[in-house]
This record gives sequence, C-alpha cells and structure tokens, in this order.
Amino acid sequence: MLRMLLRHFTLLLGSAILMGFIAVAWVGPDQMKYEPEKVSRNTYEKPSPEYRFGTDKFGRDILTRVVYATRLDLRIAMTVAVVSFVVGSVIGAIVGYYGGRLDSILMRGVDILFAFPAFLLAMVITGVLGDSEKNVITAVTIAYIPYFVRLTRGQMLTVRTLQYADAAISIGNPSWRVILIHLLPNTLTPSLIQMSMVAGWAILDTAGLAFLGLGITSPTAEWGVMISDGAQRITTGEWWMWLYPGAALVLAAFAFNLIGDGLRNLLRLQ
Amino acid sequence: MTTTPDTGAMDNSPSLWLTFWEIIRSYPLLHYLFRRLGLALLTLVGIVVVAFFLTSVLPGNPAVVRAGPLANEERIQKYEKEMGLDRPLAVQFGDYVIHLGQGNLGESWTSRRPVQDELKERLPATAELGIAAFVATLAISLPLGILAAVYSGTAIDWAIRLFATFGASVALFWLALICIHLFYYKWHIAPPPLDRLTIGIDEPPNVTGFFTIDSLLAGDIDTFRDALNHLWLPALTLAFVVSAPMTKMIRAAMLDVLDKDFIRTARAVGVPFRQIILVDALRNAFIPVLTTSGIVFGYLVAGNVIVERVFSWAGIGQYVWQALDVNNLNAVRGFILLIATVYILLNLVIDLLYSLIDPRIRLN
Amino acid sequence: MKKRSVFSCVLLFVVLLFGISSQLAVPAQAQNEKPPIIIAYDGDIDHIEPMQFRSVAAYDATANLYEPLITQVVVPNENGELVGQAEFEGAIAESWDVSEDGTTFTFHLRPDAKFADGTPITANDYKYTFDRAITGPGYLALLTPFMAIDSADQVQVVDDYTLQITTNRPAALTETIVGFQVFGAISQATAEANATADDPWAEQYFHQNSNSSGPYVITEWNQGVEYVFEPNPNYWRGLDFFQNSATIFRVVPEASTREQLLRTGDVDVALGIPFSSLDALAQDSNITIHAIPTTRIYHLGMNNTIAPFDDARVRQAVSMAVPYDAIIENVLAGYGQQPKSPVSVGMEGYTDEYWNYGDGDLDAARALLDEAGYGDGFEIDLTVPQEDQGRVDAATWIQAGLAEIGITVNINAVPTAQFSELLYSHELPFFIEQWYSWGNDPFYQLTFNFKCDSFPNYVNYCNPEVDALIDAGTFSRDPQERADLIRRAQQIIVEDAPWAFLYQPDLVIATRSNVTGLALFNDLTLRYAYLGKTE
Repeated sequence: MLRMLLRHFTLLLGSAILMGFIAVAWVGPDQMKYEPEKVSRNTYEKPSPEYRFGTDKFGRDILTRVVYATRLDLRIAMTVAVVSFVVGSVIGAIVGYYGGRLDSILMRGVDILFAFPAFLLAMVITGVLGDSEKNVITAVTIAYIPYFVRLTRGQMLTVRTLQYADAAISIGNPSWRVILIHLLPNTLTPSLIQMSMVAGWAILDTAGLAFLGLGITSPTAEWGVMISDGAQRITTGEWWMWLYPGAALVLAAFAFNLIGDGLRNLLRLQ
Repeated sequence: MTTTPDTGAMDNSPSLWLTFWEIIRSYPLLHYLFRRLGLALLTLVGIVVVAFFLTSVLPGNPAVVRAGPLANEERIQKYEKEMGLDRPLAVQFGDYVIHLGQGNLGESWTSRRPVQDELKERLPATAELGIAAFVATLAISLPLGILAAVYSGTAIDWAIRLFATFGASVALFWLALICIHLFYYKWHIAPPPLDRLTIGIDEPPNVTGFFTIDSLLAGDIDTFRDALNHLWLPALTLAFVVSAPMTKMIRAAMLDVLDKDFIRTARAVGVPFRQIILVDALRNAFIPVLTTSGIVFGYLVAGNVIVERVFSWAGIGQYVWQALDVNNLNAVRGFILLIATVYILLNLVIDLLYSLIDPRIRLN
Repeated sequence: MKKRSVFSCVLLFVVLLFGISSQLAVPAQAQNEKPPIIIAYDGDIDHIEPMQFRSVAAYDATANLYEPLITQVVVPNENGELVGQAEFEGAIAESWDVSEDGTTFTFHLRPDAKFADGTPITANDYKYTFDRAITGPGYLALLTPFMAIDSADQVQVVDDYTLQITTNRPAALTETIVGFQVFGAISQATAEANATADDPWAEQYFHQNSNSSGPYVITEWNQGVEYVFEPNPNYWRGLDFFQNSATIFRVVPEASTREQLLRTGDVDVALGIPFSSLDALAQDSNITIHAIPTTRIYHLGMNNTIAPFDDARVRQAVSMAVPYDAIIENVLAGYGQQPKSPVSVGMEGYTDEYWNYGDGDLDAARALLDEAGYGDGFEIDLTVPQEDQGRVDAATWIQAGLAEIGITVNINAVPTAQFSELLYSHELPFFIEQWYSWGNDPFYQLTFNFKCDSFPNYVNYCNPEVDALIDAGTFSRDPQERADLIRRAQQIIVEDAPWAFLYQPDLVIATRSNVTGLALFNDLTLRYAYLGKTE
C-alpha cells in the first residue's frame, strides 16, 4: 500500500494541489471581504492581518485578487485543455481513419501550424482577435489543437488496422460510429496525458501574454497581469506584489505537470 | 502552346522528365529526399499565405500610425497609397509574393528600411543567445537525464524528475525578473542587463555575427570576455526553463535503451558500466532527443521573445514585439517567415539524418 | 568516441562560461577631460527624417542634428536646470528684424556657420528647408498657418546670408514656429545629391542620414540598441560649448532595468521612469529626480456627437465624478498638477475661475445625470492605449469614481495602432488622450483641439463662437487683446465640458546626482550639449 502510494506520489501530489486550487476557485471568492477590482486609498500596504497578502498600487487586496485570478486562470486552462483535446482528437481520428487525400491536406495544415511556436502563434492570434478572455482561450486553443490532431492520428493509424476495427465495420456500423465509439476511445490515453500538460502550458501562456500586455489586461485579476504590475516594483521592495501571484501561477502549472507525469506513470507509457 | 514549330526537343522533354523520375525512384533515399523537399516547399507556401492574411487582419491602420498626432484624412490617405494599403488585399498579396521571390521582404514602416536587412542585423543576437541557451540546456539535461535513468526509481531519480517538472512550471518572465534582481541588482554578479556588450566596447569585426566567436577570431580576449559576461545570465535563464522537458526526454530515452538486449549483453560480457552509459547508451538515446529538437527550438524561440525584452537584448524577438504594437506588418511577416523557414529546414535536416541512421523510417 | 569529444566540448564551454564570466569586464574608456554621457531611453529612434512624424526618442535625436534660425533663451533655475523662456535669441541667424506692422521678418545669418561636411549654411538652405516643409513631404504644412504663411513664395532669399519671411497678417507665433527644431537647416546640396525622380526631397536618404547643422553628428547607428552622438566639429558655437565628449543613446525597454542601471551608475540619465518608483529612487543619494512641470495635458475625451455624451449635462456630471486627487496622488505619485481649463497650467492666459466641478460633489453630478435622463446610469467603454501604463491606471481610478454616480465603465486597453485608428475615426465615444503644444501657446492648443474642422478634435466639439475667438487670438500680437479672448474661450469650453481635464504630469528625468545641464526647451527634447558631469 505504501509502495503503491509512493509509486504514484506525483499523481497524488498533483491532484491534491489541483483539488486545493479548485476548492479555492469554487468557494474562495465568496469568502473574500474585498472586491478584486475595487480601488481604495490604502495603496502598497504590507501583508498584515487586514490584508493577508498586502495591497497593490490601487489599494486592492492581493489575496482577493489571487483568489479571483485562480478562478479565471483555472477556467481558461481547463477550457483550453478540454476544447483543444476534443477538437484535436476528433479531427485526428477522422483523418487517421480515412487517410488518403484528406489526411495529407489536413496534415499539411497541421504542419503549418506546428511551424510556429505555440506561444508566438497565440501571440499573433490574440493580436488579431483583440483582448478578452474568450479571445485568449480561442488563441491558445488554436495553438494546441495540432498537438492532439497529430497524437490521435498516429494512434488511429495503428488501431484501425487491428481486428476489432474490422469486426466493428463488418457488423454494419456506420463509419462515424466506428470512429467515435469503437476506435477513438482506444486512442485517447496519450491525449489524456497531453491534456494535463496543455492545461499547465495554457496557464503559463495566458500569463505570458498578459505580461506582454496581450489577452487579459489590467484591471482584471489575473496572475500574469498581477506579476506584470508587481514587476514594476521589483526594485522598490514591494515583494508581495509579484511573489504571491507568481507562486500561485507556478504552483498551479506544477500541479498540472505533476498530474501529467503521474498519469504517464500510471498508464505505463514510458 | 507556342506558335513556333515543335522540334524534337519539345517532344523529348516529357520523357526526359519521366526518365529523371525513374532514376530518382530507383534510389529510395533520393526519392525520399525529393518528396520531403517538395512537402517542405508546400508547407512554406502555406505559411506565406497564413502569415500574410493573418497579419493583415490585425486591428489598427498602419498608415494612421505613420501619420502621427498631427494627422488629417488627406495625409492618412496619402500614406495608405504610399504603403500600398489602398489596393485590394489580393493585389497586395500578389505584390508581396513577387517581392518575396526577389528576396525582398518589404519595407519596415517605422524605420523605412528593408525588413530583410533589419532581420539580418538582429538575427545573430537571437541565434547566439538561443544557441548558448541550447548548449547550457544540454549541459544541464544530459547529466541529469542520464543520472535519473541510471538510478531509476531511487531518490535521485525522484528528485531530478521533480526538478524537471518544476522547471516546466516556472513562468519565464517571472524567472527572468527575479534573476536580474538577484544576480545584477542584489549580488552584482551579472553585468547590467543591457544588450550584448558593455558600453564603450566596440563590436568585433563581423564574421559570424556571434560576438563570442567573432571576438575570438579577432583575437580580442577582452571583448570575448565581455560578450560572454553578458550572455550567461539570459542564456541560463532560458536554459533553466528549456532543460525541464529536455531532461525528461533524455531520461525516457535512456531508460528505453538501458532496457535493450544489446546493453544487457554488453553488461553481461563485462564492458565497464561507465563506457556502456557514455558511449553505447548515450548514442542510442540521442536519436529520440534529436527528433524532438523541433519542439526544443519552439521553446527557445518563444522564450527568446520574453528574455530579449527583459534583458534589452536586441534580437528578432524584441523586433517583432515592437513591430506588433504599431502594426508594422512587413516586419511581423518577415519574422514569421524566418522562424517558420528555419523550423522547417531544421526538421528536414533532422528527418534526413534520422533516415540515414535508421533506414526503416523511410518506408513510412 | 565521437560523442565523448562532443560532450567534453560542451563541458569545456560551460566551464568557460562560468569561469570567465565571474570576473566583471571593465570597459576601457578613453579618459578625455570631458566625460561621455550615457542615457537610457525607454524607446527607440525609428528614423531621423526631420519633417516626418517620428518616435519621441527620434525627436530628441533631430533636436541635436538640425539647427533653426533662432532658438529659445535658457535661464538656469534654482535646481540648476536650464529652462527655456518665451524670448528668442539668434542661432544660425545672428540677428533678425521685424517690420513695424509685424508681417516682414528679416533674418541675418552668421557668415561662419557650417554644416558637418564643412559647407557653409546659407539663406538658400533655409529657403530649401521651408520649401520642403511647405510643399514637400511631412506634416509641417500644418504648422505654417500659425505664421500666417500659405505659400513657399513668402520665404525669400535676399542674399546668401539674408532671409526674408513675409506673412499674410501679423501672427503671434511667427518667431516661435521659426524656432522649432523641425525648421532646422537641411543642406540643399546634400538633399539634391541624394534626390531621385521618385524621391525628389531625398526622404529615403534622410531617414538614416543627416548633414548636421546642429551640435551633434551620429557616429554610430545601431538600430534598436545604441546610437553615439559626437560633437559636430563645425558647430557654430564651437567645441567649448559642449559639456561632454559624446552622448550615448541606449535603448532599454524594460522600466525596472532602467532604474537598476541608474542606481548602479551604469547610465547617467534614465528616461521614462514610472512615477510610482520615483519616491524610492529619490532616497538614493546618488540619484537626482528632476521633475519639471510641463504643459502636457491628459484629458478624458467625451465625444460631443455620440450619446450619451452629446448632452452637456452628462459631460459635466462625469467631470464632477472623476477622482482627480486620487489620480494625481496615485498615478503620478504627486508628480503633476491638475488643469482646470483646456489651456494648460503654466501657459499664457490660463485661468481656473470657471471650473466648478470640484472633487466629491456627487449629488450635483447625480442630479445632472437624472435631468439628462440617465438617472439609472449607463454602461460605457473607456478606450486607452495599453502601452501607456499611466493612462491604464488613470482609467482604473475613473472607473471607480464613475461607479459612484451609477456609470459602469469597462476599460478597453488596445495596442497603439488600434488606438490611433479608433481615435482618428472620430467615432470613439470615451477615451483618454493627451496633448502637448510645441507652440506653448493657448490659441495654438485650442486651434488643434477645439476648432470645428480640426483633425485632432477627436471629441467633435464645435462652437462657432469659440472658433472666432481662437482665430482672433492667433492673429493678434497685442497681449491685452489676447488675454481677453483666451479668457472668454476658456469660460465657454469649461462650461461645455468636452474634456474632463485630468492631469499634467511633470517631465521626469532621473539622473545621477553629478549630472549637470539638463536643458528644457518648448519641445521637451533633451539638448545633449549642455549635459555634463561634476566629479
């Protein structure tokens, strides 16, 4: 039992941290006594019983903002992960199953998207779409869809030659049923691991974009926005401004990465 | 097609082509090479299209930016005309492609200089930082990855994996700010985060554009030292983040290889363990590492954009960031094409190398 | 075997990387008697074509490359800063006469003034410069109406060293405009040598090159990184005038980096330091903060032709609800002042007597909204350029202030290119913009911002009476008449409230304490020659 626990320590640790974050995102905002965007004259207050994490340049409570940001950032990360996973897997499954011309055309498209580093692609797409939560999600999702297309397609190429595929077809199932019900589920394991990783990357990308002034912008409570605000004070000693949101950001990304690692371990895909 | 009477040469050409193809087809490697080149070219064409149209829908009118605060409609229209923005998008695209064919990436709308000249000036700065970061990444990941694989399942493995997972979770801009604060401002170990050389030190004569290499070629040890002094902190910052996925890849590849029969055999016949690890295992583990260089390249380029901004490093990452704010479209397009081309070439070379090493791949 | 050697190479490189870099390299600087000055800029020079709009930093560059006929007199203040006055003195022109009716200006040029290439600066060069300004590329044709000039023929060469400008009618700003850096001498010979059929004014050449008539020449052009300005050996004031051996312009985009560089003494002057960092920076005894009041005016623009701001009562209510003190205290950290008129504080004729939108009178504001039919408030986007942290921050305070009277503000921070386009469409309902008058003149300021047909009048304000007042003032050289006119114009505009007047930030330049000779002209650009260092 203990061995078992140790074996999956990363998965457990990651899940525990993530559960903690989800709990904070779920009930945290209601527990706060301040509002995330409400300004006050108490600017740059040190952490104190009144303001646990201190206040920022608008006298806003950093703890409150970190908690609200948790809700926002988790929402973005999970939406990106789920949508890119679903869209990418379905596309990958279809092109992998049918192959042929459709496959080569679509995979050229995927190659084109892959030729841009995901972060830069997200940067340009956010620039085109403008700054909003929806647009960040769209941009980052587009950047990660190719990962899932490629993964699922590769898996599909293998499973479609297996016997049960033939069996499913021979008993008269329509193609969509064969793809979605019979084959796709057998290709998803690597994508699930990838999904956890993508959630972590999405958090880092969202914050990175915000640092460059793209996507989520001030005064919204978002970790990247808060770090960017705090970065201006890095020489003047208001460490609480960049430390707490930075720590939250790293810890959240850490949790997703741990889960990804743990899943890989669990599913013995080394 | 032509009005001139056909001669034998015309008749011959299709069959000449056929012969050509037959020759190529009879050599699988050559055939593979041609197919890959063709695909790469196709991808590039797609990228040109995407880069052009994606950037042209960026909100904001570049002519307005050029006109400045004392603008009026007449002047904005004049600039639109000058910059070719008054024509239909399809015509603009045709023009862009024709210029591209002549090796001309268009004019940068802020400095009014050819974009290719500006990119050429700035590319070495990015490349030097990127390559230094890559070398540092290898220097960190190789020993860690090997250690983790050799001591798989022990506390060492556990610690290294945790470190790698943590490294993959650190926001680069946050790390860069902290590094500058600590190394430069607090401890005075690093020089001011101001580009590539100390003020007053002249650039070495341009050979490669890499200050570290050019200064050595010129025999100028002081400049070399200064260039290196400016390079290490941004390079290590970048390397820290990139080494996380790299360590994992090396570890996984090593574990795979160590499990192979030939390693077991080698151990059984008494080849020293050190030699097995450093020569046989490492060589074989290198293949999967090589194939993932594309991903690492992506990490490095994206990381460069942020590191260059924080360290005032005048590379193409800074360049595109400034260009994006004022809709300097030709500059943004030039950057995208450059990155994509390098990436595609890199993948092509990797695939070719790979197929040389492992002929089975060609069949796919 | 091969792999091993690669590996050892890597190790060797890493050892070198750590080993060598641990010793700080000391730059070998030539020890002249005058020191070089290193300035950390927050922006880059895009180009130095003197008649095209360019980046803020590029105006600094051109101010040191092109010498006008006359220039502002500077007088040191108690902090040792050299402050430009309303009076002018000869630069390339030794002296000038004005005819009795105020329409003919005769400039007598110095016979010994030369361009950087050694050729003499003559009246023909200025004639060429004005021709280029009025009929050539660039935006300067928008400035000549203030001199009451509409044709290049009104600038005449009398002889090689005498230039005559004849205006249509007396204008208040003729000298001021002639003294602008953008009317600094361009060498006709250089321009013509580099002109082509497609490019008759040699714009392409002047984007990166100059034949300096001013104090400096650029000896190193490393775009995005560094520019070196060295004294122009042919400058008319001679080499003794220079307080430094060279001025080095460094591009440092990140604000915290600029601060740290200044603290460690790696640069002598740092521009664009965020206001919020100034108090902490001022604690450092090696650093002096020069905070110089300027007339740059930031305002909350309310579009007079778009609901709900087409109702003056709504604009007045907003003017009442803006938390002015909080903005100045927090966004500017106290380094600025609140204007109470469309004429900036410190400008001729400024008065605050018509402004009665005092901080905190929210019941009156609510009553006005109610009268206008917005008793339940409304929701509106406030557009700001995201590159300007100050404006984004001010928007946050405005958001809080307007919430008190039931107006829900959504802050819309957009990239520069997009902001300009939205602004120039004249269809932006609610935005924060800034204005700075190079002419440092109230009528100049009102002309651009409030005349019905003016392009930068982004709030679409239109009042024929105001237009008439502005015209009368622009073409009057009588101080008393001008004072009366500007007073009345302010009364009307403050009442109509097309802008809420937000703040006038100080121009903040942080320097090492031993830096001397910070000179401030109307165009707010740095004149490098005055900058020196004490030991």
